[in-house]
Amino acid sequence: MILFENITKIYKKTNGEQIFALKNVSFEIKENEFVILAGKSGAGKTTILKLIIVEEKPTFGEIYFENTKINDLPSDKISQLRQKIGIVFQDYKLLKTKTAKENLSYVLETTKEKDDKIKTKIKNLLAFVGLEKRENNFPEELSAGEKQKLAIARALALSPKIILADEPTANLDPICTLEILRLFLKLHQMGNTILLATHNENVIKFLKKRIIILEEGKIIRDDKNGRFII
Amino acid sequence: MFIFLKRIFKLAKEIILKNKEIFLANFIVFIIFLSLLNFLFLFLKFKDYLIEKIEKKADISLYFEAGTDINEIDRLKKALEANFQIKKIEYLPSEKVQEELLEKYKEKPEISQILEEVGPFFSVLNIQTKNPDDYEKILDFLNQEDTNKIIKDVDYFQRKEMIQKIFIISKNIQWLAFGLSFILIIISLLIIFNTVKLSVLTFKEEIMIQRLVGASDLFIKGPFIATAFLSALFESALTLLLFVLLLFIFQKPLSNFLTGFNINQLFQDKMAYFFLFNFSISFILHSFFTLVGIKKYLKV
Repeated sequence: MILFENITKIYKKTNGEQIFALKNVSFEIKENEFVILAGKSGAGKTTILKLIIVEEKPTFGEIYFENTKINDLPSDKISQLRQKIGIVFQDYKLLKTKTAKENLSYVLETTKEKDDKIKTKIKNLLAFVGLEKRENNFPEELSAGEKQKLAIARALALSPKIILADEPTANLDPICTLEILRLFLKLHQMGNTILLATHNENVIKFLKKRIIILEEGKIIRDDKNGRFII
Repeated sequence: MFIFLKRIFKLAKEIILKNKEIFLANFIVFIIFLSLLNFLFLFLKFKDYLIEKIEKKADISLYFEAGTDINEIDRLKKALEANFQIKKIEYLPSEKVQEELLEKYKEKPEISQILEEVGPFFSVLNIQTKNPDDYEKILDFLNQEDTNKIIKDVDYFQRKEMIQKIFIISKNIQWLAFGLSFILIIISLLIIFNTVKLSVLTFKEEIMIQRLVGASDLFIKGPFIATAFLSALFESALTLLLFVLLLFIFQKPLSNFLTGFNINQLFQDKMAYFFLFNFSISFILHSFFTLVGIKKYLKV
């Protein structure tokens, strides 16, 4: 589903200094896989996610999504690609001026889906993440865990081919973390492909899935059995 | 398409209702700007009226010898029209000159009596040119054409200085009006651009999130264009209402001040034009500045 071929990403500082975020990274994620991207802060996890949603472009190498090269997509194709990808951010990135219901309807209304179908879908999504009673609340009225659940519901809204999650439990307490991780496992059991970035050892141990470990922009381990050994 | 437009306008309504203060600020700035444009338009119309009135006072008159053949005068008239940029040329036969003078002094019998006794009057050709320099050239032309035997007198020399002054005044008024309008419009545009830019800044984060969750450029820009449409509609209607009210309230002092220039009539006659003009300007500026403002956030 996703193929990274010899990807290098270099950021240039204003003083001209070059920072290698990724160095010659190659990997493949197949359909229905659950892959954990692990590594310390600055290892390159978020850069990989940004490259998949074309928020950033690689300096060298090629990226494929469903056999289509996505290195340099035009603006209209980027939005089409992002509609196939559900994204969960560490800082939730919810629309602050919209209620929980409106946050979901906004994404659904970008398609040609009819209004009555959208309403049904919103109810189902909120029920799935356990927020059916919070549909009229604004993000600031929700707890951290509820915000992340809403972000997951939004990521699922367009029935994406893959769900990307960038440190989805970073701001959560242990109980909420567990709830969120169970949601991801449930989604995986339902047949979804998931790529989750984390630096939390407990999360990795709990999930026990394929793990790609990054260090200073390089893949140092790709373990199908989820063993967190360097 | 219908679903798309419905959703765009629904989002536009949400944007306006959830950001009332920002839209109110924009609303006020735009109403001031549109009022200024409308005021300038009326001012320019008044200036045209004033200049026309002043320039009407600048002309030269050729007085013909008694008994001059009308065909010769007609030939001269055609030659002048062919060689110069004539604004107005009018031939008055001697009888008509006498008739006009009698009409003018009908309230003063002693002058009327003298006018009836003296005579015959000279026929006159009154000439107004578009360019003040042409008056001198007309005189040269008349000398070349050897018209001395038919023209008794030309009143240009007595009025030369006054005619030149009139044209300088009218030119200065034109430049003043142009300069004033230009400066005011530039200042207003800068204020509007910054107000809209500040408004867009409020939506920066939302726009970037919308882009990240897969909204197309058009779906993000659409509600902003729809808000521009709705804002323009209300702003132009309110500006029109404001002008109608102001012109109604100040009808009397304005008609006293702008002697002969019926500003109320002009505004009433061109009301639809004013509305369309205000709406178009407001819609274009709102849309243009907003789209320029959000462009960089769409690059995410």
